[in-house]
Amino acid sequence: MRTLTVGKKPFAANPWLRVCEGLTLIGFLLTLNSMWHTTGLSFTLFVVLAVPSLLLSATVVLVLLIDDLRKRYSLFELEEYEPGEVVFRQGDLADRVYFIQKGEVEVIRTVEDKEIVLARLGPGEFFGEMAFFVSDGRRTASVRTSTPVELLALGKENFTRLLGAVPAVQKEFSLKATERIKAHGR
Amino acid sequence: MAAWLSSFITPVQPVAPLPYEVDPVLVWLQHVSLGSALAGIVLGLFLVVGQRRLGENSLKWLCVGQFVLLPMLVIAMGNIVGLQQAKKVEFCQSCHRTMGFFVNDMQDPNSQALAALHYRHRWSPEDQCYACHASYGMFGDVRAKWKGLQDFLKYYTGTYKIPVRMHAPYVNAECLKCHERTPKFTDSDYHAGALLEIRSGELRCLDCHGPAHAEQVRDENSHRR
Repeated sequence: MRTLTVGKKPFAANPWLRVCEGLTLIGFLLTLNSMWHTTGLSFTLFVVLAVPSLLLSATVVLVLLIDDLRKRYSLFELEEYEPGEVVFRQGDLADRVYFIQKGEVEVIRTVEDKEIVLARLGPGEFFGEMAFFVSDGRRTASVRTSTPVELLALGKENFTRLLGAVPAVQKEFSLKATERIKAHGR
Repeated sequence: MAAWLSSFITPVQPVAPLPYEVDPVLVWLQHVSLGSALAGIVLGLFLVVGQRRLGENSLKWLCVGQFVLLPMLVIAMGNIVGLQQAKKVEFCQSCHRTMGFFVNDMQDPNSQALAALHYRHRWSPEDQCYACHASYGMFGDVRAKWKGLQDFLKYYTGTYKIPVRMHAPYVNAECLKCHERTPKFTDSDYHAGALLEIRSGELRCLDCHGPAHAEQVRDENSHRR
C-alpha cells in the first residue's frame, strides 16, 4: 500500500479534533435548549443542526481513531515524501519507527530556536526508535527529507512486539540508541 | 379583611402536578438527556483546557466518550423526548403565527367549533391537537412527525401561507378511530344506514359535524417565498 503523507501529526494535535470539539459543543448546547423547553424552534434546531453536528463529529473522530490505530499497528507501510517535508517534529508523540528505502533525511534538533543537524541518514538506515528507548514516547528530534524519500513505517505496537519477541533485534536497536545518545545527547 | 390582605402578602405556592399529569418515563429520559448534554459540555471544555496533561490513551478514551458515546445517548434520548413533547398543545402553539389561531379557538370557552367542544368537554383528555391530527398506528405517528418537521421548516423559513391548509383532506378514519364503536354513534339510524359511505369517505363526518375549527383570516403578507 502506498501512502502519500504530508505534515503528519499525532492524534491530539489533529486540527479536525478542534473542529469536532466545536461541532459537539454546538450540538450539546442546542440539545440543552431543546430539552429544557421543547418548542417548535428549539426542537427544529435540535433536529436540523444538533443531530447532524453530533453525528458528523462522531464519524470524524471514529475515522481519526481508526486511522490512529492503523498507524500504531502498521506493518511496514510505505510512505513517500517530497524533498523538504517534515516526517515528524521534535516533541511529537511517537507512533512508528521508519526504515529508509530510498533517499536521504536530516535529523535536526532545535536548541534555542537554532536548528542543529545531528545526522544525515540514507537507504538501509532507520530512525524514530529513540522515542521508545529514552524519552516519554515523544520525538527527541525532528526529521526532514532532503531528497525524494520512500520510508517503510513500522507501527509502535508491532515494533514493541518485535523487540519483545526477538532479543537480538532489541539488542541491535538498544545499541544504536546508546550510540546516538553518546554522539548527540538526549 | 385580614384574609384579603394576606392574599397579597402570602406567596402563592406552585401547585404540584398530580401523578396522572406527569409521565415518569419522559421526565427520566429528559433528565438523562439534559445530564448527558451538560456532561458533554463540561468534558468538551476539559478536553480543550486540560488536553496536554492527559496521556495518549486517556485522551483517546475521553474522545470516544465525548464524541461518540455521549452524542449517541443525547441523540437517542433527545429525539424520544422531543417527539413526545411535540404531541403537546403548547408545542403546536409555539408556531404561534400559524397554529396560535387554531389553539386559541380550541381553548375559547365560547367557541362552538368541533375542536373546541372536544377540548372543553375533555373528550380528548390530553394532547388534543395530536389526538385528531395523527393517523392511527405506528406509521400514522411517523407520518405526523415527518409532516410536522416539514411544517417547522416552512414556518421558520417563512415559506408558509395563511390561512394554513392541511396536507391532505381530513379523513373520516381519524374520527372513527374513537367514535365508531361508541353507543352514541351506533345508536344513530343515520350512521347505521350510511356506515359504508362513512367508512369509504364518500360521506364526510365534517360535512355534518363541522367545522373543526373557525376559519383563519387570510393574510397576504404571510407568504414570503
